[in-house]
Amino acid sequence: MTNSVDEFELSDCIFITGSNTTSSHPIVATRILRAKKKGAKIIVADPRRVHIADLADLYVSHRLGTDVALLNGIMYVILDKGWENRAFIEERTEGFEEFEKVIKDYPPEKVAEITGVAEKDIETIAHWYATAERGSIAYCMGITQHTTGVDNVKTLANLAMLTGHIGREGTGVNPLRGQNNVQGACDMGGLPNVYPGYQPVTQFQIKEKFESAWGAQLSDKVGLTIPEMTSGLLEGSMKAVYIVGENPLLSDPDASHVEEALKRAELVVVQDIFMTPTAELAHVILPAACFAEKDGTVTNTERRVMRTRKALDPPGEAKTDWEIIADLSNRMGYPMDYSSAEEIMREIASLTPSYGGITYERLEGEGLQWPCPTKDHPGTRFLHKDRFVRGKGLFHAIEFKPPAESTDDEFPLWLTTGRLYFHFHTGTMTRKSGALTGEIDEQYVELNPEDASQLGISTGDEILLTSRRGQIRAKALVTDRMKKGEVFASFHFVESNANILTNPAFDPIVKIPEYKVCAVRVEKAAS
Amino acid sequence: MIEKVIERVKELLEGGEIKGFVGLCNKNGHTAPYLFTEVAELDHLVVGDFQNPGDARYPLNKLLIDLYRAYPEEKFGVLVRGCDERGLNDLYVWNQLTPKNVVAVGIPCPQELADACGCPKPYPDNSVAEPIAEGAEAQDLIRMEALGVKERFTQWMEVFSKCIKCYGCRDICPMCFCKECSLELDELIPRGEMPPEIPIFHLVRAVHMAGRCIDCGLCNEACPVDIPLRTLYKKVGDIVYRKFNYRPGFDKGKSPLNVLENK
Amino acid sequence: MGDCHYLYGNVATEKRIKFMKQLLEFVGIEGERLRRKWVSSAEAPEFVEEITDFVNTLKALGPSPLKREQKPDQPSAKVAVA
Repeated sequence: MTNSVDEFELSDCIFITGSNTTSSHPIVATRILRAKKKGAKIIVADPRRVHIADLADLYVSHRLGTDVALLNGIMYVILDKGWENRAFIEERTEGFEEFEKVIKDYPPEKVAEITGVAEKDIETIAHWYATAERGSIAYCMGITQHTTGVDNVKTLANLAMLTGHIGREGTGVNPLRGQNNVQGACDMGGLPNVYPGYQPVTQFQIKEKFESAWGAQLSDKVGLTIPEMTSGLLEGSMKAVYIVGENPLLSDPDASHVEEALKRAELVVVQDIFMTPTAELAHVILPAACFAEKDGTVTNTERRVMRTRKALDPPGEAKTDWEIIADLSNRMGYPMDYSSAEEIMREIASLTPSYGGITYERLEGEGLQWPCPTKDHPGTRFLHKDRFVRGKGLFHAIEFKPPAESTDDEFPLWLTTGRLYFHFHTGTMTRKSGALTGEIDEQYVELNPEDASQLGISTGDEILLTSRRGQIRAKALVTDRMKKGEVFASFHFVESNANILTNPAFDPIVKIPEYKVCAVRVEKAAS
Repeated sequence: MIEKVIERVKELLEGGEIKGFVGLCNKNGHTAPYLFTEVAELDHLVVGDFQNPGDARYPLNKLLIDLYRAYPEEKFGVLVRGCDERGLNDLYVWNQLTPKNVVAVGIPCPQELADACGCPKPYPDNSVAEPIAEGAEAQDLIRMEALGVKERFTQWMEVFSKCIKCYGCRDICPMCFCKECSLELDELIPRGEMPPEIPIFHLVRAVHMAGRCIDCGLCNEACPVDIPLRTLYKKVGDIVYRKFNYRPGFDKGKSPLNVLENK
Repeated sequence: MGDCHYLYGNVATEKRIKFMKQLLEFVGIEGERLRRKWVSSAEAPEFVEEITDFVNTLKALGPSPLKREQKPDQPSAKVAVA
């Protein structure tokens, strides 16, 4: 997030898109609802009528995969009415002219046609957001999990720059991160192209810095992304895979392909806290300690580094992740003799400029928000205050592109996927909780009443959901949360795994798969 | 205040009168519930809230119930405010705790806190210090009662519709001790829905608070979507008081509404 | 009172109804929508009279606010998952 969670309370217009906020980020929703109570306008744009849409001042349901068109349309209105922030554009940005040319192609009548959103709603969003004192954007996987994921995010950045709603309290472009420490994992270089602190592996000085710190030779080549690993295993160019705390058999698109890939691997190692469907395919399972069984830190969605403390010993042979990695490394001939998580944190601070001033001592209490480059730096509440990291903010001229897959007679409906309130991800943890499985423990595919009646389907009926990649069986839930032509399934349930259906087509830049749109067919199952 | 609490707890621990003291501990920049068993640890003992309800407060009585179930022969001390003491009284009535296993160490609340809580009695009888505040009126309840029936409906439905069924109100409640919970009964409230069916979810819980709620307000502080639950349960308490002349934690015996008998 | 087949059942019911009427009023649902009347199984005419009267009361009150609250596009399904 560019800004902090509590800053939502200071916003007077919050634009939420592709985020089921009350369900997936309830504490962020707390702040947003408090802002509403103080009079802020809440706008929700989401193909699925999620819970927070019911609480919004304006809700629009654009067609799946039409985010860029909708946002460009909003920006068309802003420019047309002269609501843009000229001073900000001139002082802080570049590339405006190119961008403006593209925007001219997105008048509301055309955008309404593409997105299904009424022209007057496009105008209202533009009006409320652009003329707000502090406009804030919150988005989540509904924006990123597309073949146009990067385009979608850049378009949101365009919107914030156009109106100057960035670099101040209560504004910003705020991706809500899912897991408690997904931000931390990325910060620590859990990505194929960077070292900790997003330092590129391809840069010579950076490579040299890490080589001298670690006394080892390092590669200057970008590693493989997950889709590339799957295809590598299938083609045989990759032989072994070490999976830590992930369940790709459920969480990756086109799951049958993933299963095939893992079965072809010569070695699959899985490190996790519970037995998972992926671990069942592993040659070696390394039992890991859970959050309450280890010391360390997590970094949350607002870049806040926080201490976690060990309350219990890990059960059986389980060890903390860092102990397992160090142990492996030692056996493979590269000695790692860290004595504690704190010692590792000291190394992180010494090699990662944005974490440079972070020590365990300073993390007592509320923790620190990076960038925190020095020991006396108080941490950073919101980013891009006087300048952007690259200097001037760059407008990107982005055209709308439809999803990778099209519907046809055989697959006439669009499927989108996501989470239910009561479960987390692939259910490896939450499906072990009676309190949560007591709420719901099976796949319900949501479909619109009109589609349902055409198909002769009622709530509770067994249905078959089929895409070009596979088929699952589930129960139907007829609901107006979905609009006509679109259906929803969650990815929590291994026995009815939505990712058997999803399209592995991915964004050309960051390789995020298009989980949010694919073409499907629904039919009543023979009983 | 804290010196007096520490002095009293030290006396109890050193004299061997209690096995441990359930209080609040400030360590690593956080305040959290803690079982003090050594005098040396008492440097970290704090009283929590001072100005605003929710600064740092936990259902210590609830933890005490767990301890009592695990060590039914032992005696423990517990930090109490006026509301917590009412809670202890009522928990004795419902046989969730027994007075012989509990030593309450009470502290009075300051006026700011009493006013913010609309607390009728912001001090325990059994206290290390004299009362420092007077009982306050429940302003939120008075405001809500002044509204017309239609306006009340609109306001309640609006806040209930924000509910994310986290069960936080129930889980934090020191008076919620049932093994089976009506809120989890599919027949009463269909499971798997978010928001849960309204207003049934909230009314079922309100009914179960009748004759039970000691108005500590922890539910209000725990609610992630700011539903004014305390106001709802204050009303429930008010009905029971006016119709049945009973206030949980103040009056002897069980609430007449909650018992099945011929009177 | 007191001659209930379920011993103290009617005593408990009386208390609960008293309580519930007030609670409903407080959350904005007219107390008149809840009513209790003691009628034995042998008193058919009284039963009919009471129900007729109750129906008239409800008609005069108009549709339940809860019904109005339910949006036309609310999922009718038992399991609505968000």
